[in-house]
Amino acid sequence: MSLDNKTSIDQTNTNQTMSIIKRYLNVLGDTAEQYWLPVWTFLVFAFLYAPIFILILFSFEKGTFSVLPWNGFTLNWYQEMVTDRRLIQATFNSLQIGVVVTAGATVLGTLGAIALVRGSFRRKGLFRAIIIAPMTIPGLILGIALLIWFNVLGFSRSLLTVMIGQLVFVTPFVLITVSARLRGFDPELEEAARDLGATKWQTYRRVTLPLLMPGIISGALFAFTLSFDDFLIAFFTSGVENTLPIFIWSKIQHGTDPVVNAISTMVLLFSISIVVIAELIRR
Amino acid sequence: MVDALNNIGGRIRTLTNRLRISNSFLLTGGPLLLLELLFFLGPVAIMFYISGIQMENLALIHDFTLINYIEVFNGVANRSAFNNTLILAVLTTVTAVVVAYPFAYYIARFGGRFKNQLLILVMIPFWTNYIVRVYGWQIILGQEGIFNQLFLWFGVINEPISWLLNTNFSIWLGLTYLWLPFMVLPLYSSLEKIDESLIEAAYDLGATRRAVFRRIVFPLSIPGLVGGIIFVFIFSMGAYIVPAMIGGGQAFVGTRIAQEFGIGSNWPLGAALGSVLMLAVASTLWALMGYTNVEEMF
Repeated sequence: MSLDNKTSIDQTNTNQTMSIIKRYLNVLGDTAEQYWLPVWTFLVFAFLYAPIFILILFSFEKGTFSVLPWNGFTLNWYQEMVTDRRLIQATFNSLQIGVVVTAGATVLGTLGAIALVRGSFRRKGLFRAIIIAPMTIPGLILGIALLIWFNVLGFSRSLLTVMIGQLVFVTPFVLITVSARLRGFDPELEEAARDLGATKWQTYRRVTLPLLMPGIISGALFAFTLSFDDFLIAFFTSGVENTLPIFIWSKIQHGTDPVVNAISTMVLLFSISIVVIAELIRR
Repeated sequence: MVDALNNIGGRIRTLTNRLRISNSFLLTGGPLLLLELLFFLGPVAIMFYISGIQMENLALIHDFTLINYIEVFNGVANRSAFNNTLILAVLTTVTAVVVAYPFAYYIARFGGRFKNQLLILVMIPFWTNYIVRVYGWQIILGQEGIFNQLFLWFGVINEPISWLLNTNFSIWLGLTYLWLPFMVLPLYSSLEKIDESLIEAAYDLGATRRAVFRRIVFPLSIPGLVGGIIFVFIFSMGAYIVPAMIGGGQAFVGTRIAQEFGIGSNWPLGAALGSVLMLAVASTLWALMGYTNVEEMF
């Protein structure tokens, strides 16, 4: 009888310990389940921003090799940057290309979006495929294909060939942005305008375009960044001219140079302001 | 008689209608179509053509030959480049899925009122010059880079790790880093669309968290997942910047192609490499396109 009792007490004891352990494990599991997602998200953000912060940090560092330990604060690299004539020329070229490509891509992309969403014609699928393909093809392939093409046609390579090449892959991005906006509004608004006696052109100008404006503007900003950042198309089609990414590339090929850190910081700030503007317009 | 006239009238009307439609298409879609025909399809076609002929001193010899393709598939350098690229592209795609899925899921489901701000934080690296960002990794990963110095200083390692830069590891890291937003954004947009009440209903009916994920969240996120996979895989296959900048001369298709158009100066061979790469990319697209909608991805 007493022996029986003892075992049962033992049993309860073990049961109790087991249940305590289980409860701890549960709490641990719950906490992990509760916190691993935010922790993971934070780590991924850290991963995304690590190289960006490092570049900004080292653009103010005295030493020439971009390594620790920290040698002290300097603005030398920025000073060197603003006096580099080749850099200024390359930046100017990039801006020039960017403006032309943005204008061209915005007009062609908006018209194309109207054709894709509003138009009803046979072979729409083929049209769509021809529009989507340049977005998905690796830039390297487009770059070499254009290089061969311009060579066969006898075009001499210049900033103009870069503009044409960039237009090919930038325009589809504008088209996609605008067509998303176009799908979002009711075609009956256009029909109503027609019923009230507006001509086709008046309808476009007074109804369609104003409604599309946010899409068009964010598409244009998208186009400008794509053009400004493009390296591969410009690399193969620019000939002797430099764009900013080509300039940075050739500088890096010659080893680390803290001026590149300063340039990168400026490029980053520029892109960040464009993204923020674009997102503010889009929402 | 009247019927016949009516009939003809109707036919003429449909004809003019069709003309008007095609006319307005020519005005709106025409210019873009012309651009893509002249400077996209034309160049790609000429690349395929050049890959089937020979070239001497930049002059084309218009005799069809398969010699370039034999070189692509039998040449040791080219074969190992294709193998290495394929392995790294698959590895990168898998890593990007594993890294991006919980990340996109958290922002889409629990971002709350910070959702848009968090999304802008994802967009910023996506819109910033990629050469600059890869250069940042060059500074971090080098023999005397930030990573090695910090870990030496903390005493985690005794001597600098030498395989961080200019190896397959750094290519893998760089590609994952560069294309991660292309996985996050499509995933986010399909996760964000999931109706909250579906998930609540499942819980009310007694489903476990795993069951909710497996039976509701995951199936509904497939379009975004496939979209992300398409982008990351294709861009990794065709990468040039990452292997050229931090790949330290490891075999890679992109750098092989650029070499043939640069110092190697064998354009037909380069074009053949490009054509095979293009076919690989196109067949990936063709196989996966049905599961997603590229136009709704961003």
